[in-house]
Amino acid sequence: MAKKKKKMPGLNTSSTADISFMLLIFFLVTTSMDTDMGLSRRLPNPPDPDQEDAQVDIKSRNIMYVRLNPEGQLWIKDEVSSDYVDIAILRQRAKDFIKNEQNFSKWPEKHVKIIDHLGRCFVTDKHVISVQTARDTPYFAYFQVQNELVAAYNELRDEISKEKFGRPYEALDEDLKAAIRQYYPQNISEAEPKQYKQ
Amino acid sequence: MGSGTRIQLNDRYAEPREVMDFVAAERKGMVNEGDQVISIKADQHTHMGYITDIKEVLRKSWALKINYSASRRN
Repeated sequence: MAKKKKKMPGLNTSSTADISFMLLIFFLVTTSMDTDMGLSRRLPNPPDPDQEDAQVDIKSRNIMYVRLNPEGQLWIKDEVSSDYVDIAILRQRAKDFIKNEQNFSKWPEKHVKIIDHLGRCFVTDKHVISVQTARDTPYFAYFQVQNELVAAYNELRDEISKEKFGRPYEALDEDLKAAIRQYYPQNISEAEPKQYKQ
Repeated sequence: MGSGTRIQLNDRYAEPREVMDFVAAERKGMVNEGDQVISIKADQHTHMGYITDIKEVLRKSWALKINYSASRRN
């Protein structure tokens, strides 16, 4: 009896092409090419090693201290008050401080400044917001503080832009934007400024 | 690699002292050196000490334009 070699039935591979298309479509649909979004900042110039410790003397009314402890709690101090606060009030506090609408004596001093396109202005450009963290402060708390402070400046700039030019800050030309930046300069310091008591 | 805090530069792990050379090397490869922006992406629980150290190193390398990476709120 002739042995018939048992032939294994071949696998039906006609659908492998379909499987590959399905996989391709799946990954095309679910892949996300995220653009990196975030908060842009500019670091101050590095300290000059040859220059003596350049401590700037700042009046105490011009400084707002913003501190973060290792628990991520926020503490604000200015001439008026010093206490632990919630992050939600930082923006308005900063805005009130920077604007100092009534030229309140315990908030930044205002003086006259001539700015192109704006003329004679009464500004608080000597103000400083000093931010300091502990080494163990969670990054999230610091980021929230930076975000709120930048938002405060942006809102103030928007308000003055609408008041003087009738348009939001982003809609202005570069030279008008520069004028608004001179009106409300972003003075966020992450170094300990020396100050003398008035 | 453990569960401590580590610094990653582009695609490899590094120590804080390596950041300065890395920044200078990356800058050389750019068309306009003044356009260099450093993107800092850190987990929200990272201790600020690491971030502050890196910022000090960046200042010394004159890499002053930074961007704290974050996703949009809500």
